[in-house]
Amino acid sequence: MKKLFVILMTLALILALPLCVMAEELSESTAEEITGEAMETTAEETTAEETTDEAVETIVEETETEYEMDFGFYPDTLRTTLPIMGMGMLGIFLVTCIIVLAVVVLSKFGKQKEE
Amino acid sequence: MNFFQQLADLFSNVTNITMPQVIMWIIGGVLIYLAIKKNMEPTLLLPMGFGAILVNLPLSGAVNQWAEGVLEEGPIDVLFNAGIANELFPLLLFIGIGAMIDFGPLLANPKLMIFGAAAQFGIFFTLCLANAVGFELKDAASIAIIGAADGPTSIFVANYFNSNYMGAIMVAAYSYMALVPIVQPPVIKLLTTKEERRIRMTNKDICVSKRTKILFPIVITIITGIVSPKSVALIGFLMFGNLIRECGVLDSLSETAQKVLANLVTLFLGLTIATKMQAEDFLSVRTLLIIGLGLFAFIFDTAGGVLFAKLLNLFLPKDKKINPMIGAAGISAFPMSARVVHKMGLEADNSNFLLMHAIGVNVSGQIASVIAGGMILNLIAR
Repeated sequence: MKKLFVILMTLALILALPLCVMAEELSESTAEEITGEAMETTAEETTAEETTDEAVETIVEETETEYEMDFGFYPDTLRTTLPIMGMGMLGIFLVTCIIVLAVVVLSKFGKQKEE
Repeated sequence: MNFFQQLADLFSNVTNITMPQVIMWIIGGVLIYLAIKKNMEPTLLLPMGFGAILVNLPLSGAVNQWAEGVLEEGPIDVLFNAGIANELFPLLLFIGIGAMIDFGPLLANPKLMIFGAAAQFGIFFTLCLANAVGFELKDAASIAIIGAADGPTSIFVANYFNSNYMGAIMVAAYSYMALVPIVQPPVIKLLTTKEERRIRMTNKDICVSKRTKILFPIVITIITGIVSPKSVALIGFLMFGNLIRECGVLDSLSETAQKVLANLVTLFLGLTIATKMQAEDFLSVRTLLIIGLGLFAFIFDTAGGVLFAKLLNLFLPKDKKINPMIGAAGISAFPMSARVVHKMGLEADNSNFLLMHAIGVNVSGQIASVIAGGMILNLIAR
């Protein structure tokens, strides 16, 4: 039992770094894609000289209202939230492992002093 | 004629009553009924129910009202700004909760903490789902934290993100905390076999030294504070409450924190939350969705704990197997969740006592839920 927990903790600690890097890379790539899309949109907007500012504002307002009001299923959002989920669960397990180790050390320290 | 006119003026406010307000009175009445008759979290549901009626009276003086271009401040809004908008009430309540918790069973078997971590899965899963069904990320995070089964953490996170759905989140969080004995057993039964529920776990009599009990809250605060600085207020106040309990020289302060402080803050908190239960904000499809997502978070938290225990059992020798039900106690609803697990253990085998293990996991869930809240604050920008 003890051995298993030690193995699990070590594994969690070893896995932590590459998983963190992977999650960061994933969020970076998502950010890059979003930036790319945004740049394309800006370019298109610049070429469309006839579009008036008022029309753009109306479109933006309509889009925002649509996002706020419409409930549906947007699987694209998982690209943002799954890395958060991975990082969050990993973070909790890591902190917990550290706390467990700290408590084990504390207990031993307490026992020795009592003896 | 003048008399009748004056009489009509006196009752003119009756014409301001709207159907949504009446619905909110009924909801308030249901909350009061559940608190008194069913004994469901009465300390919070009763003030919330009464507050719901109070703020939904036409032109209620309990909340801010504009009269002839002048803002007349209502006491409930004043209390909200003084205690919830600045996150003060949930933190003060945490001192009381910290003073109530005995971390002894957890310190005797610290490995149990791992189940507390596993049982936070529902929070993050719900975050993904809430965002995918159309809630903004900040609101999704506030909704997901209902799964922490921890009222003050829910208020803290929802308020941090300035969520528009605080009323619905609070009602869902506290209702489900009270509904743990109804929500958890079917999920546990669905995920475990009768043989698994019969697994016995040995009770070791490990004496935890006073020094360990005193150092524990300090060490936890430092570790969590370094890893997740935004949760340091939450965990710090919880651990401060525990420190005054365990230090042995502040018994009267500890007693005050457990009883007077906790009761007083709970009273204000319940009544003040009602400011977010005004008909125009509360009565919407979104409220129903939030309540549904809250249930989802609770179910997946329970499932996360149970499945993690089952996963560990695959690697453990036959005589060291863990009863997977104790994983379900990893949610923060203390001590209801531990009691549910213990009761189910007795149902499966009337001489199987899981209480100490379940309590250990349950208190670890209390810490893990605060860490989960901190992680969400760290990972999602305000």
